[in-house]
Amino acid sequence: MSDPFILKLIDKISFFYGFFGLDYKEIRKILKVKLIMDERRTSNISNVESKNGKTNLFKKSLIVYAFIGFFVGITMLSPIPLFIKGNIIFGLSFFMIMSVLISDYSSVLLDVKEKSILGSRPLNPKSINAAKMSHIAIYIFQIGMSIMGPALLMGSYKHGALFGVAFVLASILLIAMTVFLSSLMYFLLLKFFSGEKLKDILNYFQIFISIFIMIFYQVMVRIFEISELTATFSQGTWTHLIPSAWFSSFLILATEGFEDTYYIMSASLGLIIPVILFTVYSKGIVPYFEANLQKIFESSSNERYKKKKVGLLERILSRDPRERAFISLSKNIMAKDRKLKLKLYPGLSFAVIFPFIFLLNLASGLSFDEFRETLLSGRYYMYCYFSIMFVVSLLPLISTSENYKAAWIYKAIPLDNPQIIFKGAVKAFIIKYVIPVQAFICMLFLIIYNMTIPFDMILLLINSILAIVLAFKFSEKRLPFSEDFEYLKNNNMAMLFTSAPIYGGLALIHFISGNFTYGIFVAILVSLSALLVTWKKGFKVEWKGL
Amino acid sequence: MSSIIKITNLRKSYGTNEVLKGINLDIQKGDIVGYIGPNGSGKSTTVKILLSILTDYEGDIEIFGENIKNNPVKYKSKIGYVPEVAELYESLTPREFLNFLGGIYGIDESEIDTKAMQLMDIFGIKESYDSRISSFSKGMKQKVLIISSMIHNPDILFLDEPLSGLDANSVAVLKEILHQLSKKGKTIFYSSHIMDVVEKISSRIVLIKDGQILADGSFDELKNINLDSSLENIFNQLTGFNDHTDLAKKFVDIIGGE
Repeated sequence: MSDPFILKLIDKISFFYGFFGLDYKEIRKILKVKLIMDERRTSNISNVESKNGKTNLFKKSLIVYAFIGFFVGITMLSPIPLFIKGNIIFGLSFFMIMSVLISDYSSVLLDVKEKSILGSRPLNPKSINAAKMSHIAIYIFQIGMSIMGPALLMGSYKHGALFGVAFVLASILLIAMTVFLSSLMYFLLLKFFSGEKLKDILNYFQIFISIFIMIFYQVMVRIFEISELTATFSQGTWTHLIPSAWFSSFLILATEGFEDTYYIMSASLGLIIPVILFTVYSKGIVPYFEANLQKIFESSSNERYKKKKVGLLERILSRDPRERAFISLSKNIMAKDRKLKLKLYPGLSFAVIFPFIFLLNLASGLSFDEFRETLLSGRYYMYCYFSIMFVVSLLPLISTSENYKAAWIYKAIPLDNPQIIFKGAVKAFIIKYVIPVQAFICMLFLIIYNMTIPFDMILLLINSILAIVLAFKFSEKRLPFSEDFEYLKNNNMAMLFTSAPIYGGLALIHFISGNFTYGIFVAILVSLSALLVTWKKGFKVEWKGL
Repeated sequence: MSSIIKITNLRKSYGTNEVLKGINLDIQKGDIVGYIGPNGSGKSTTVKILLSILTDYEGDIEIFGENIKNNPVKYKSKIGYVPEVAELYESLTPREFLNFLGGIYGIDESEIDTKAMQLMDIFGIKESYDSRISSFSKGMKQKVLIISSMIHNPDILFLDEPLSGLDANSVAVLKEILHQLSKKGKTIFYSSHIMDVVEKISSRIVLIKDGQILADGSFDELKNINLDSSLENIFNQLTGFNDHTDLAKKFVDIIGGE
């Protein structure tokens, strides 16, 4: 068993632990196991598809962060004032690292196994904690490197070595601050919430960061447009309140010398405040933190139970009480399975946002009135078919669940025909997500177009449901909530491509219908009857092969 | 009396590995059958076949007098099942899960709620009716599973290791539940590793090893044939396991470094 590479690096600075009176030998043993487990996680996945050379989730997210870091780093080469560049980079890194910490910290903190495995052994609790902290530190270091590394390299290339030193110093202080602030956030969460509620909140953070990253890719273009503007930064007392300004001042001092008192003032704040905060953190917060941590495992919180009436949509779409049982089962699981939500919600929000990102692209360089005119003269609401595309690509998600092994239940209950199971899940998906999402988008477009396109929006709504049912009919059938999330790896993308003729075809029909008077009514009639037919016949599934 | 479960020459292979090598069983209404055997002897496989979860087998199985290959669905409305491993959709609450089952078996929601609340109360977990199952201990999950297997008042119960994770008090309650159910004419087919319990509650004990039945009869019958006083000893004797003293001694010696 050879030592992980990172551990060898830490060996070099092991005196650091001795300095605090910690037993590095003991810490090293624990840390080694943790790091080895991290690596195993890689090989577990790559065993399955070693040919593709896929790496584990963490490494994948590092690549994503590095990608973002690269684009942000490019601003370093641009001619905008250094102080503003610094603010952009540090501000964004601050935000990114903090969100990652809040969402992912939980997986380290929630490690229950650690307590039962290590706690029963004669180990110094300080060593266990130090190993945990080191593990987290390694983790943050890797994230920080991928986000800020590109900017460091490109900035040093343009502004010189001294800049590099200042940048590294600023990054370390920035990370110390994020650790403090996210811990404070955690501390407050732990203080006011417990058990399931807490896990829910963490889950929302995770969903939020996934959405943020997805949108960031799209808005990247706009960031460059802003950066082309010759933005000027007015110095004022209030800017001393912005952490990214402190750290940017480091860069100014390193490249331009200690001349402007404003920057000296700002940089000293950047040096002093993180140090104070970190001391408060390690002396004051950490002990409370550990004491409150136990709360996360409490099961005290009951779900609030409300007697639900069967919704109008549900009554229209399903008359069979047994099918309704499956609809509410599916709705409940989709609303509560946290891992499933983590996949589902970012995709859905993307479906909502995407058409509007296209509209924004259209707006670039135009005044508001010009933009309005262009918009109304064209049929840009056709962009909505992109959101249908995204929603369709999410359909394979209804086959997955955190507790996929619980699917034995389908075989233990008396069901002649499995189609009722699928109907329940697909209808739940339509009722709970497809219709609300599409209706929301349609409403917005109706408002944008001054209520002039009601029939197009009706057609769009019908087509979104039709697309889902058709996509289901032609897809591979797996029992709802019966697969591990691994299943999505290939099937999400496959769904996007194989169902292209469906949403593409519907979009084409819609588009052509607009060229004829009353064409839209014909299209509505056609889609509606197609929907009625597929609704009756599209769910035929046999037990064989399930 | 006609048998309620009739297994004739049941064989099942995974590839070239034959797990069941011709099982024959006739089970009467009201029987409590303890199905025992060493790990990997084919107990769970048998139960899964009886539930049509596994369908690829040789031989015939009749439940309620009908071959389950001909109609693998209808009989399921009158059976209950507790699987070996307690896997549930843990993001749900017991209320949500049990209401789902109620919808399937055609039981009214309010009826399910009243019944389930009372049953959970008996097991001492009533206040968790609206908590996520993911927050439950192993024993609590097992209790939910047991309740969910009986909520529709089935005529046959298939229980695969129903006692796992339960505390002594709950085991006592469950034993009595099974006893009284059998008096009401319900048939119970269960597997367990806890020999004391099997010995006490089974009206009939079936011991299998390597996919074959080694012994079949009431505890008294097994005692008379094998001249041994406890089921544990009979189990060890029949499965050809008699070197446990030697193995234990070796184990202890190695720990002590001798």
